[in-house]
Amino acid sequence: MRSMVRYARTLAIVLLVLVGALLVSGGPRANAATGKIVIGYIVKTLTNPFFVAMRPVAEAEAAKLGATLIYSAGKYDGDNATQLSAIDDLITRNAGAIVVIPNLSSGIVPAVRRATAKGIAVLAVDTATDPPDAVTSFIATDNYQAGLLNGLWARKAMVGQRPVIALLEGTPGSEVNTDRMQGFLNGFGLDSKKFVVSDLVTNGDQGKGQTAMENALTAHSDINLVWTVNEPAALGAATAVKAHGLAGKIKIVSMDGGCRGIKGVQDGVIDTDVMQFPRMMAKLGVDYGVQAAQGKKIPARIDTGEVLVTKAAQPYVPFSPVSFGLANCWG
Amino acid sequence: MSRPQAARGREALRGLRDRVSGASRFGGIPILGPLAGLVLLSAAFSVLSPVFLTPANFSQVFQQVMEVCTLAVGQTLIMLAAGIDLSNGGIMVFGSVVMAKMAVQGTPVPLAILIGLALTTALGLVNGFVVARVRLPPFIVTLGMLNIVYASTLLYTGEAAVQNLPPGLLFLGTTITLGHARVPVGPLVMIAVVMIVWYALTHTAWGRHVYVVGDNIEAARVAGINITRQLISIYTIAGFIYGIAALLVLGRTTVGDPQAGQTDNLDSITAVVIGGTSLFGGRGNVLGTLIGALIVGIIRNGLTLIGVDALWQTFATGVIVVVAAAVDQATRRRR
Repeated sequence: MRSMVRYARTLAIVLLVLVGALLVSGGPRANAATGKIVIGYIVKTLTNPFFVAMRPVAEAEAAKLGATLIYSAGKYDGDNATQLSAIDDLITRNAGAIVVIPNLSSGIVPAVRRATAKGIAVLAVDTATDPPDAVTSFIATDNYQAGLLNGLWARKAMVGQRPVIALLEGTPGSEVNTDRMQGFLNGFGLDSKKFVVSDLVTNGDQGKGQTAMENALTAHSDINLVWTVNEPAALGAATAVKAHGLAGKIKIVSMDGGCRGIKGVQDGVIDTDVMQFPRMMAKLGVDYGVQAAQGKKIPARIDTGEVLVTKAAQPYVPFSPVSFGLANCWG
Repeated sequence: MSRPQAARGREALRGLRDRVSGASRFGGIPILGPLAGLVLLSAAFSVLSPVFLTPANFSQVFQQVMEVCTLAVGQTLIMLAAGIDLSNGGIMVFGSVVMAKMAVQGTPVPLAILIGLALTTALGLVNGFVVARVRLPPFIVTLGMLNIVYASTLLYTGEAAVQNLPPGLLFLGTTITLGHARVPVGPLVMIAVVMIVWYALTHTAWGRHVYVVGDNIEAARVAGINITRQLISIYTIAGFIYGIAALLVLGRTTVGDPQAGQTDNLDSITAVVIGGTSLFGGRGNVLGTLIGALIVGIIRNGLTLIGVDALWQTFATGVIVVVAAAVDQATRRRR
């Protein structure tokens, strides 16, 4: 009998805690019964500054259009299972459209197909699905184009030197990584592979970028050009370069368009930063999501733009100055 | 051993056997707490969300928890024996990518599945061997194994997901029609695993020995149980169960993803603890684990359906784990 009382007490505490959590979080938001369109917005992780920049824009846009935004994320970069569950829950919730940045381009497709089968539009943002036509619309930077710009710039910037290239990749197998790197290599020239002496993985993390660069420099002290998949990797590489006393002698190209990276270009720490526009992606994602939920047809592919920012302009390579970068950066 | 010592050992064992058989026979009163929690939570969410209490949603929740719940069944066995397994998610993923890659490269699907199951079972056996024979703490052993399998998985797959799997591998993600209902196969397998392990724990000598080893290893030794063999068998069977979880994951995601399941080890421990199994071994119930996994799944699902921010779901789960463990501690001290 006593154990029953104990369990009842435990349950009471548990329920109180849950109710408390609910109250503190502001309670239930509007549900489908009120007639508002529900837009799901699923990002890779909650803490990545790229997505942190998107959130207020997505929420503001949804509020402006009178829709309810349900925001969720994976638990870690690469967490496919949580995103699958999130899409399934949004289907149950009768969402009008789902905006998703897939952690695993191929792994998210079963849930995407379940959604589109029920007539729910799915918009992939920033990262494509595999196959890319599983979604209704794809809103992103053209990562290949972005890489290409870096490649073109680097080729011109390296005129007169024999290039010794280090590649600091993100997460191998990721579409984003592959497109950016391939774009860079093709932009640099058809023969670029033979100049690559080091090809390391950073998972887009600054600490790993620094470690990778340190190892690369130890193995090949004559590296003079570093391609990095994103800003954190680039900033990590720059730290390693400086620690080896080679600041200014090694060109570092990168992309993302975050304010940290642009500042890095301004300070001469890195040489280029091809900008992405996540706020534009968020805004367009919600906009077109609502339109699709209203039954309108939306474009299948939207390129949100890629702009190379650098202090060292190269002939015939389109670029924008640092001032543009500072005005439009995120994070 | 002196006569008083032997007498004390027999006394302890008698008391132990009574407690264990009483607790384990019906699946025991202990699951009443988690079960009531599950019912009350479901009631609360069905009031707050019109779509919660629908067959489609429940089917959803079962599919969402089946991976962690199956891992948690293995975790239950190990925790009942006063151990812990941090490598279960990693072993599962390694098994899944091996099955996937072999099948894609042309191995017949049944053979690929068997090889994957053999691999996970063997890894479980290694864990058990190092714990029982080399006598290292399970925490350390399985932590080391976790890193070994994670690295092995990435090396084997070249860090890329294995795609375009033959449909034969994906059967646990399919749905069958039973009468009027469309029932997903995966959760049925999950429940079968739970029931088989429940039966083994409550109706076989081996199962009773699991409890005894976890509750009082000295008494178990005195009673003549071969501790080494018992522990190794527990970890090995758990390894096999992780192989089944690997098939579940392949069915649900349709890819062999080396980055999958990274938080599954802690999630499985959460399910086991909420289900009433003691962290210190010797008490607990695999039915409770199923309920614990469902509670976690329902909290996540219910809070999502009513629009509560994802982080509060994690917060609520964390609080409930602490509460459940505190209850365990309080009832333990009562004895």
